[in-house]
Amino acid sequence: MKTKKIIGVVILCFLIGAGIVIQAKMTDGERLYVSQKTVEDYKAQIQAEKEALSDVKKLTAQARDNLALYSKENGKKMLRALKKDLLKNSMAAGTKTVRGEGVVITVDDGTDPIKDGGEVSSLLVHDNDILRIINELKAAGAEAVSVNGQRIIDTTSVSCAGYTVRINGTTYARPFVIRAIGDSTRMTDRLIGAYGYGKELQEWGVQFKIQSAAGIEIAGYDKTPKFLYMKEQKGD
Amino acid sequence: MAKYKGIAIAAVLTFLIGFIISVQISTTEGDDQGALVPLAKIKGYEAQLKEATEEKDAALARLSELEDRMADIEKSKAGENSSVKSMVEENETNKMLAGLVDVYGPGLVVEIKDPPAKEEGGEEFSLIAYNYEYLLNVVNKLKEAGAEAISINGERIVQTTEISLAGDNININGKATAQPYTINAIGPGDTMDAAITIRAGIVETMKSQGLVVSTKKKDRIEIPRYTGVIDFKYAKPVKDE
Repeated sequence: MKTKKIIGVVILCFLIGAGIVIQAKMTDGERLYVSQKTVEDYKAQIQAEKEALSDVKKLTAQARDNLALYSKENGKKMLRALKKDLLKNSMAAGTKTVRGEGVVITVDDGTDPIKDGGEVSSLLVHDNDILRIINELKAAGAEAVSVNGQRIIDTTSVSCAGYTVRINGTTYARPFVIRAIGDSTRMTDRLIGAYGYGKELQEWGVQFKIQSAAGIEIAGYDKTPKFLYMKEQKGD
Repeated sequence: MAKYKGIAIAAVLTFLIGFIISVQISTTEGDDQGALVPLAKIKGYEAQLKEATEEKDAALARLSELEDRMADIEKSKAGENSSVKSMVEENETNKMLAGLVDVYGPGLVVEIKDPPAKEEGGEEFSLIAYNYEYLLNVVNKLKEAGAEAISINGERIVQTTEISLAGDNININGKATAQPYTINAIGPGDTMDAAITIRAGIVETMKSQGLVVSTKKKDRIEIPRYTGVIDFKYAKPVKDE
């Protein structure tokens, strides 16, 4: 009788032991649960890939139309298509001078007297401020941006150089005039709306002014690009 | 006494088995436990993401094919006509500068991860998302150090690229992204690495906030083209003199 009981307990313990081991193997060191945020992140990324796919399909349709023009016997059609492509690409690269409506921003060091316990550096315009403003303009759909006449392209950095700022290899000092072509309402709201960066700067005592304007001209990037490291991937 | 002891032990053992069985079931099929989601459900989303990416890549391959055919025609016409040749070359340069071409080259890879959650399923928010300016600063420093092409989680950085907070996610090129972040940069690896890992530099700042950051120089990094549709609604070209 006693033996039966012992065997029963032994079997039970074996099952439990096996169960624990199988459990451990299944999760394999990973957690059993993840947060809802992880699910949301996956959903957001899946959505992003779908949007990219839709864009690529549009690009493919354009390419198909272009190829048709290229393949025509009459070379003139191909030349015209090529010219159009070159214009589009130079606008995308920022090497073309453009004109349109948008905003003109002036940022400068504050002139208010320093409050008790305050620091003068909080009144000054920093390279990071210019970087943030440019980013905010792009987030609001800016199609072309320049700082003190210097065109902002994909490789443009805004570097601190003591009390001056270096952009595309040229040094500039305050005041900074930032021009952007795009939807002026959208760009203005983004910068001096509720949590706007421009508003934040004003609260710190930095001079920040933004004005809508028509016919803003922004010069194309005029340096000859030299690609020392990157090469085009050809074929597959 | 002995009788009750036996029953007590059996009860405990049965409870343990029951517990294991229920955890087993909920791991594979169970409903979400409040704010927590069974790991197995994530596998489904992982597969969906993989599928969406593959579809996109296939479409890009078809696009490349069309572009190759156009390039062939351009090449033969350029051979006959020198003004076509210079236009083709100018077009190539602008395409490269605009980020519209898949490129490769030596450079640096930067990985940024949120700190591991203290408790299981405890990641309610993303540290890096609420500090998206760090990404902006890293990219700026890389450019300063000579980066010629940069991508963040596969999104190419171009003239109009923004890095902004939209809800709980960071938007790049208008699309939602999530951590972990992989920043690929083609350019001088040593200079770029030094620029961001310098004492009191951006990497040190990120680490001090709890982010998990690592950098690695590589001989060959591939960066994809920008896949957005280019459409200028406000900016119009000014005729050359």
